[in-house]
Amino acid sequence: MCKGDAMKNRVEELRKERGIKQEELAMALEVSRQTIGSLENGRYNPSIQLAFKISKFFGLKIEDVFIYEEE
Amino acid sequence: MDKGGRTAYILLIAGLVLVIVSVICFYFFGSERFAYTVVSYSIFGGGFGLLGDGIGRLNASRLEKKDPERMRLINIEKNDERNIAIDEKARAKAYTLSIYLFSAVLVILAIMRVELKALLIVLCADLTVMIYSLYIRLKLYKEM
Repeated sequence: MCKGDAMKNRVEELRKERGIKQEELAMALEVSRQTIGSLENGRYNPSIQLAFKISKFFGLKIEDVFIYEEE
Repeated sequence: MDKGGRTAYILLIAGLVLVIVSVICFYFFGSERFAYTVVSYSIFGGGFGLLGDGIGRLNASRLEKKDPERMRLINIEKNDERNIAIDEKARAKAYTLSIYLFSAVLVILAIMRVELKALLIVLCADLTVMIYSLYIRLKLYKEM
């Protein structure tokens, strides 16, 4: 990934669709609530393990949750 | 007793022993030579360090039995990948700052015309940090 490239995600959208709180998602993924908040705001890009965990949690493919955008 | 609790008690006992030994050393030999005072103070510091670590571990071990859910939350916070990334980034920035600080200290000491021995000690510390960084970098190049 180059410096100008960005990674967006649909975590907030998917979480709200399912009516899950940030705390609940954090508990299920075994990360802090702040991590979920930062992920949703796009301030933090997850590790590949966490990205897979999130996709698995929502029952989707990784590319359906995380969108890679080239500059 | 679980492994964590056992380690905590071992650290507590070792810390207590070191503190007692340092007090005895200081009481009997402290006034004889300056080096003995330094050694006994160092043992005292190390002993209290172990004691503190032991108390912390003992608390964690008790909390794990008493309130496993809270302990799980603490472990999540501790092992959270964002927290780890922040911690590593902060350390990396602090390392960069330390390189500049060491250089500044060396220049200041040279201007102050301090003894060459003192200057060499600071220089050795600076070089050790840099060489260690290089070693870790090469190790990670091979591993990753």
